[in-house]
Amino acid sequence: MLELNEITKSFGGIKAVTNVSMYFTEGKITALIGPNGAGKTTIFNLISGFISPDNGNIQYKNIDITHLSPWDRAKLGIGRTFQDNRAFSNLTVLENVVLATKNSWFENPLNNIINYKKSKLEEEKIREIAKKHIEFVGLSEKIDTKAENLSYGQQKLLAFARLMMNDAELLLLDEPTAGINPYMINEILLLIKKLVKEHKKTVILIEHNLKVVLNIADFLYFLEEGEVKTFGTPSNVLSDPLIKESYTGL
Amino acid sequence: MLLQFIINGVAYGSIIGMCAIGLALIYNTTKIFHFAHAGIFTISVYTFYFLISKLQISLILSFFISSLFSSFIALLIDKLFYIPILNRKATSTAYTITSLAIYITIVNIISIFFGNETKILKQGIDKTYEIGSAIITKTQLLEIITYLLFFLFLFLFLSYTKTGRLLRAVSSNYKLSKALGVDIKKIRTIAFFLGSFLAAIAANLNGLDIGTDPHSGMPIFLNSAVAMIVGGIGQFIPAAISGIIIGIIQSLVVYKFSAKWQMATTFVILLIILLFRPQGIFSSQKRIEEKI
Repeated sequence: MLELNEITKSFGGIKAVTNVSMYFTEGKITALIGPNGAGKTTIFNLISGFISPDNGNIQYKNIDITHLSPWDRAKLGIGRTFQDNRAFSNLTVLENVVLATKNSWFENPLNNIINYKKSKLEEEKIREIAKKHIEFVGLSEKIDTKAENLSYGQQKLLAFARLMMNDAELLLLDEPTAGINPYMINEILLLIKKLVKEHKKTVILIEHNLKVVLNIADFLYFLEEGEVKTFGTPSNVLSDPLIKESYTGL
Repeated sequence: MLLQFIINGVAYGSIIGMCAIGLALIYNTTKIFHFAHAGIFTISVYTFYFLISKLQISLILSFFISSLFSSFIALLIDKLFYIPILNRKATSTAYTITSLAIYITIVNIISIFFGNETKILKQGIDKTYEIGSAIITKTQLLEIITYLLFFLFLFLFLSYTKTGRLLRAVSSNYKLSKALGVDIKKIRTIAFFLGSFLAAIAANLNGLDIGTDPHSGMPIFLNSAVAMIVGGIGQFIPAAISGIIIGIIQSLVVYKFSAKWQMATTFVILLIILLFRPQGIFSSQKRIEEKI
């Protein structure tokens, strides 16, 4: 589904990723792990288009997306969450989710005026879908609450609802369980599994919590100093004594 | 007498309010402190003056042609100057200096062609209406009605249309908007056009009311910037309300003290707000604690 071919990216002479090649399988959960500065978030930024590689190319469903803008990639079905929580803070939960729709017909203000009835119907339809996604992530009670008044964990759930509304097929989840209490971690893991099984999503996640990785990932890339060190199933990769030593210090 | 000054304040505040919401549309979505907004104000009123006095085009037609023309100039400024700066990933200082340079260039060009003296756009004495012991001129009334109409339009537009919500979304979180596939370029164009159109309408009304000179845009711009900050950065409608408040306070300062203290008072208000309520008078405090 997604291929990174010999990608290199430097920031002011410091190489963030060097000659990285990766392959991500459709309908699977792939985790990226590695110590801080290993290049995990840089890879997310490269896939989602926030930065461009110095060398190499990125193929998504056999389309070269290397030089596409983030919004063009989002339209192709690549959605992401961020390490720090990001929401449209002055918008309600419902508005946050409605905004993520790909339906652009009524984005045009002229359409709103010229065909008011159709616009109203479209909007109503979109709102109903958004409400279902909000219910799916368990935020129905907060539907009219402004995002800035949600807790950290709730904002993470809101990010999932937005991704679902965005109809992204490939989800890039940057530390989805960081800063979350254990109860909420289980909720989020269940949600990710449901997204893959029931909604046929493909997930790439960055995660420091190895328990989480073992729990949900199908495949695992271990990165260090901007290079891919190992790839395999979580149990195989994490049983490698060298990985254990360099990552967990054990 | 007090009522008269309040009426004058509301009328002047309507001009500030329209410019302020225009500035907020541009600043919140692009993060450019758009000094050239004052230049757009001046371009509009001088185009208006040129069309009615030199080309003898009707007042209403000239009013709208000049407003649209200056809004397109604003789009041109964005395309020719701001977007190249954005593409080079320059800092916000680069925008500020560029914007200031554009403003100065506009004012100088207008001075060369039209001179520095005040231009009167409307000959004769304005029709007046009595409100108790005070009077309101037809132009002042028009300023207030136009402000109220735009206020209502923008409230509905920002609250209930997809484009309005996208404007609020981009203003709230630019990076997330990009990640969600929002067409940032389109939103930017809408913000620049609508924001500049509001300033242009305000400029033309102000010109009809008190005339104009090449420097007339800057004091209005500064008052609008204060209204935007006092209302709360990231907000739209509060900027328009703050504009009215500033207009009334300035008018009352003239009534009680002297016109010399008008601008100083505005900036004292800004300093007090920045010290004690930096998020603005209409913004709520953000949630701090975790509740789960």
